[in-house]
Amino acid sequence: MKNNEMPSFGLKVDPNAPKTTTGPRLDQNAPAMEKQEVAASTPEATKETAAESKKTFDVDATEGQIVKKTSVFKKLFQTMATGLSRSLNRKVEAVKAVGSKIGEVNEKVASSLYTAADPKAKGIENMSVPEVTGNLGKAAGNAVVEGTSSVARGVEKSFNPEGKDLMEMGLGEMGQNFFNTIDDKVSDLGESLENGFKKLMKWAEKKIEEQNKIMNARLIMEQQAAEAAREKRKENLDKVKKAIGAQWNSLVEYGKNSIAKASTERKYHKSLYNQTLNNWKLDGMKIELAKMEKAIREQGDKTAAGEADIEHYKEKLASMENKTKQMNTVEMTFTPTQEASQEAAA
Amino acid sequence: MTIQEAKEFFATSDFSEETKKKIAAVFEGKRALDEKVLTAVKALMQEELNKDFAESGVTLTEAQENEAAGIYAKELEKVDTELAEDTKFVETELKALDDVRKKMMTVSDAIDADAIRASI
Repeated sequence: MKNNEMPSFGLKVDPNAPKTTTGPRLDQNAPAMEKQEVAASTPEATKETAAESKKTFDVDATEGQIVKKTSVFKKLFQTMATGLSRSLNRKVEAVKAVGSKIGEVNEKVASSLYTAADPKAKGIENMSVPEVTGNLGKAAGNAVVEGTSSVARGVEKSFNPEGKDLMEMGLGEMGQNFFNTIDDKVSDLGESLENGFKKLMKWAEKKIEEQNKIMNARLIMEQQAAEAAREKRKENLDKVKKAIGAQWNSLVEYGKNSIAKASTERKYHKSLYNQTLNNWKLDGMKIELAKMEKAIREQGDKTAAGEADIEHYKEKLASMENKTKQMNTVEMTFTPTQEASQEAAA
Repeated sequence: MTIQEAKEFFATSDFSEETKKKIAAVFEGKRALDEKVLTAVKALMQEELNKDFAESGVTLTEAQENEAAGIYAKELEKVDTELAEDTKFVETELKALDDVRKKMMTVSDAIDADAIRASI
């Protein structure tokens, strides 16, 4: 079955079937009394006959029997219609339920069902159950009257399935035969409809399954896309995390270097301070030596003792200068070795 | 400088034998010339220099001492100021980085939560 193609309901109408009547066949060549009966079988005549059934019953036994039977037939038809209507009433609920279900999948299919129930497009929600029942009944009735020869024949023979003489049959027998036939036909019709609904349900379930497959495939694709997007974002976050880590380490290293630099500079300035003091003291010694030499020269006391004092002081000064230079060398050039730094760090 | 090079340097220096012995004792057992060794050695050298200056009758005036101390203090202040600026810079940058890290963790948690919801 192709998509959106509505399946057969199981009702087949034969357009070539012969036209049938729904009532007993009457002999057109019968005497006037029988012609009168033909006229009485029309709707208007039937009403009048039914109203006067009591009155005509006693006038002529034969005619009265026929009139009485005709009246009964009318009642039987009404009963049949009511029975059919009640039976169809249950089916309408099924039609509504199935139509509603199918409507989720395929509005086109649903509309064809709704068209039968609501030919004037009033809106099935706004319609009464009897109205919907009536519409469906008409649709089903039309199928029976216009096309279904088997049903029509069944109705025609319903009163007399065994081909007995009608005039010899009792009303009870005819009524019983009629009800049996109607029950069968209604049952057949119901079964036919039920089979149609089953096919529809199967078709709808298949459609739903296909839709579900499509939905599931779409869902999987969406999930995969979302997963890929998440992975990408995580990847980007990892990059940022690494960049933050690198920047963090760089800053920490910068901080450590600043502290080490400050420590080195403090030592350097301490060394400069010590050197300055030592150099100034050396300068003081040099000034002292110059004063000493000047005093001796001015006094003209170039004695051996005086020269010896000056020489001793000069030697002392030279030694002090060397020590100071060595001290400065240590201050400025002696730094901890790499091995020592590693040991300290350990 | 290695400790061996330092030992050779002091062996030919003008410092007294007494000071040299003390310095040698400081080097004793040391495998490397570390900060502690250097500080101890410099203290011994300065001690001898101070003693020599005292014997020579050389002293600094109060003004000279104040001037040297002033220069030293000013230089130390510069060093401290520079270190404080560097410290502040590092702290500010680290805080900014930490803020980014926290936001990033929030986003990361949200992604994880989303993944969990999707898996249910």
